[in-house]
Amino acid sequence: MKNLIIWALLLCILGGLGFLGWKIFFPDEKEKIRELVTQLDAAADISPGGKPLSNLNAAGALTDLFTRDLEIVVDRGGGRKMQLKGKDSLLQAVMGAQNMGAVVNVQLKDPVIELLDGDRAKVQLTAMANQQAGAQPIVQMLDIEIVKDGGDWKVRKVGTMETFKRLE
Amino acid sequence: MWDILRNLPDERKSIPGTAEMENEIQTTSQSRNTSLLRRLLVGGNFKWTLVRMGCTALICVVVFSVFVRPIRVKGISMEPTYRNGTILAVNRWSYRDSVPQRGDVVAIRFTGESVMLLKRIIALPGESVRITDGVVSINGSPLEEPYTSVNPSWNVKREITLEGHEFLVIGDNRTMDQDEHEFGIVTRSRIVGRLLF
Repeated sequence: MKNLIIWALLLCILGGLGFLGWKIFFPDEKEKIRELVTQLDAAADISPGGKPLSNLNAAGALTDLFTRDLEIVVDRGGGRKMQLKGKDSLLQAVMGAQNMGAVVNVQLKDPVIELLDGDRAKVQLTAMANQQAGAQPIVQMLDIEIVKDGGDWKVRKVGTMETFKRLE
Repeated sequence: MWDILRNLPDERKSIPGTAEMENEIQTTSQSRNTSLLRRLLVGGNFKWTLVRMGCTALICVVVFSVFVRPIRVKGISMEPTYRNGTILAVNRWSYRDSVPQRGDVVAIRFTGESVMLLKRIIALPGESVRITDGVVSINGSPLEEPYTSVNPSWNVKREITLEGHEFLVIGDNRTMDQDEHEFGIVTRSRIVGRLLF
C-alpha cells in the first residue's frame, strides 16, 4: 500500500514536470503573445543620458516589436492625440524623446488576449506611465492589434480605449 | 542572585571561586534569554508553529485575493477625503447581494485589478444628470454633497439619462479643472467593490 502511494506520488510529480516542460518548450499562441507584451513592457521605457549608439539600440529594440506598417493613435488628454504611422516615425519619436532628456517609465498590466484567427489577435491592457517621481501617473486602457509577421507576433496597431463614457 | 544560584544544577553550585560563579550566572541568564527568544520565534512546538504559520498564510491569501483588495491611493482626485499615498481596502463582496448606492466610494477596474480608480457614485441607473456651475442635479433636483466644495467652472450643459447598468462616478476633488479630472459614466461590471476602510 505504502509503495503504491509512493509510486502514485512519483507519477504525479513526473506528470506535472512533463506538463511544465511541454508548456515551456511548446508554448501556445497566447503564451507567445504574452511574451511579446512582456518584451514591449521592458522596451517601452525611455531613459536619457545614454550614448547615441545605446539610445539607438534601445529605440531599435522597441521598434523591432512592431510591424513596418504600424499605426499608433494615443489620446494625450484634453482632446489631443498622438499619431504615428510607420516604423521610422516611431523610431524618430523615441529618439527625439531620448535626446530631449525625457524619462518615461511604462508598465503594461493585466493583458486580456483574444485570438481572432491564426494570424491575428487583439490585446486589451492597462498602460501606466510615470513621467516624474511623485507625479500622478497617466493610466490608459490600450487596444492593441497583433499580427503574425514572418512567424513572429508583432504589434500592428495601438489605440486608446475610453476609461469612462463622457457626459458631453 | 541567590534565587538564580539555587536553580543551578548541583555540580555547578560546587564550583569554587566567586568569579567563576558569576560567569556561570551570566551563562545561565543568557541561555534563558535565548530560550525565551527561541520560544517567541518558533513557539513551544516547532511542528505546530509551522502548521499555524501555514494556516495564517492560507487565510491571508484567501482573504486578500477573494474578499478584500488592499489599494494605495495615487493622485489627488479624491482629496480631501482620501489623500495621495493612503492605504485603503476594497471589499470585493460588497455588491454580491446588493447594488451600489449613491455616495458609495468604489474602486473601478481597468482591464484588470492591478490598477484601479477610486471614485464616488453620484448618479444611479435610470437617473438624469446635469452639472450647472458646479452643482450636480439629479432628475432636476440639486444634489447635496457635503464631502466636496462647489466649483462653478464645472458644467455639463446637456442632461444625460443613465441606462440600466450605468453609474455616474466623480472624485471628491472638484477644485481641479473639469478637463483634468477623470470622471464619467461607468458600467456595473467595472465596479470592483466598495471601500471598506
